[in-house]
Amino acid sequence: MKKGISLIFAIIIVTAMMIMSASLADITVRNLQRVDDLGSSIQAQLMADSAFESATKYIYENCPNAGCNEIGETDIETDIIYGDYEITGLSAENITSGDGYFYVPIPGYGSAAGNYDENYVCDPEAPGDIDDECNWNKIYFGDSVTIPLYVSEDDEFTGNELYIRVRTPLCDDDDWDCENDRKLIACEDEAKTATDTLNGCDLEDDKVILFWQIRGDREDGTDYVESREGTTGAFIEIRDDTNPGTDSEIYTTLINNSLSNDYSDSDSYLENYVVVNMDDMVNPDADQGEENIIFDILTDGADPMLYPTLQISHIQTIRNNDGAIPYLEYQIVSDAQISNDRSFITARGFVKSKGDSYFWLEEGWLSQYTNSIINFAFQN
Amino acid sequence: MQTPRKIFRAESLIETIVAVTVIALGATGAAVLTRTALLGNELSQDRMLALNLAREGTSAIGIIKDTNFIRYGGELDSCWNSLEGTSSDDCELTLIEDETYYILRADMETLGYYLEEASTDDVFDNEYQIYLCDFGGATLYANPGNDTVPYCTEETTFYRSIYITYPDATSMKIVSEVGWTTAGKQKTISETAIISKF
Repeated sequence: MKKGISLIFAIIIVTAMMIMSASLADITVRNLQRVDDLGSSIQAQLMADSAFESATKYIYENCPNAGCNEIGETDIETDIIYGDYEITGLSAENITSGDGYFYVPIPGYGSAAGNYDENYVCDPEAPGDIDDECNWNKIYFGDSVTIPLYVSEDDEFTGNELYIRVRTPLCDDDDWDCENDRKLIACEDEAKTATDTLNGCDLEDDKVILFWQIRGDREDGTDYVESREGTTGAFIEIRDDTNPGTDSEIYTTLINNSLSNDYSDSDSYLENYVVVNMDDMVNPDADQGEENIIFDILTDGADPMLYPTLQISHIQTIRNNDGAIPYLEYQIVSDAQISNDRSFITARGFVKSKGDSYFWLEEGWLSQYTNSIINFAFQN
Repeated sequence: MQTPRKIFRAESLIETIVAVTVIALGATGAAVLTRTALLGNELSQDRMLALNLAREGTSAIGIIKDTNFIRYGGELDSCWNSLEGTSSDDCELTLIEDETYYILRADMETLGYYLEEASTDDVFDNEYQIYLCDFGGATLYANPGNDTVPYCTEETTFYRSIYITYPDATSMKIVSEVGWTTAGKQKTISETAIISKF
């Protein structure tokens, strides 16, 4: 037998044992590290939750009735366990178009995005042109949106221009009656076809689809709507053509025609999709001596409308040749900053532990003044 | 021509002793390392469980607030942090108090959470002890109410306390601390969250 062979065997056996034990120890240390990481991640998530709660609290305490933009912080241990939030609740300019107008929805945050391509990504830093799907909201039948025409630090509309733009969804392969690639809404005739919609529906077939109104308070606290009916119009199903420019109806022919590139509102650079130019709207019920132009009502020096809100309601089901059109897209444009229809909250949580940083992000919407047109209930 | 190797007396014995010593030392080291690893593994499992219990502690207070929101929607200003109550008339009588330690109990009949004021800030006190409870065949870790103890007969080495403070009138800070024992050593972790009445 060779000299020292048993020692060599012993060393080999011990080395094997040590390698196995060291591997086991290494796995355990990694597991412990992972559990530590998990604990810090959970704390970061809790801080993001806390920051989101703080943002919600800020909105309800400081801007419950109109939008605001705000950045804030919440911390447990300064620079170690903390969170921050950003509230985006005001209409904003489109930095891509750079036209100086303010838009609702906030460019890059529109709810119409992703409807045609679920992988379509909106970037508020580069929202695309004003007609990009990221810059339009959807409104479904039965929905009603309320948009304060002022910001939380103010109580009046301060602009001179206000437009409501509406369009239908894009056509798909089964649609054959389209204008500018968008679905044409069928007239409400017996056949419910859309063969001649661009020429306009007959008056009795020209359903009112959307209804808008502006309401606010007088300085004495009474409701402005009651005395200024021109801002509300009548809640009717069939278009009233007797006083064009005075009612609150957005009807089939109006929407269909606005889809065309040939259609142009003479006072607006926005061209197509404009269904209401507030500059054209008057108050037919103004008493003698009262203002009858809606913009003058909003900014009347002696009796201004305070806290004005624009409400848009989708009151009629619609269809085209291929079936139901489930929703419309809308956009509000003004030359002064107003509130967005809801507030977007970004909340982040941070934890620093043992030289590592942990981070959690939460995003969400708060609809503090969106309500339904169904504001009553039946009961037995 | 090859020279015959010299044979020393007891050479094999010395070599064997050295080899056995090396193996013994190595085996001892490996055993210690393995035991440490197994303890670390146990610690890892316990710590994971403790994290979940702590997280449950902060979430439960949020659920209590949300329940109050539904129950006392019209009186939320005064009832959002109510401990218990049946109507907006009595919700203010039992509010979750500032700078107070609570036991987060589970009603094993309904699996609803409720808070009970604790008498100590020592998380390893018996009143904070967590039990293994049987709920319809499923095993849950919970701190049961006294009336539901029959569901929860097995004690664990885990304890949980909830400490409430109010940074301002409309915010509540929750510190959920969990203590446990691994290999005879006491360990604690805590998770913190802030909720508001809105």
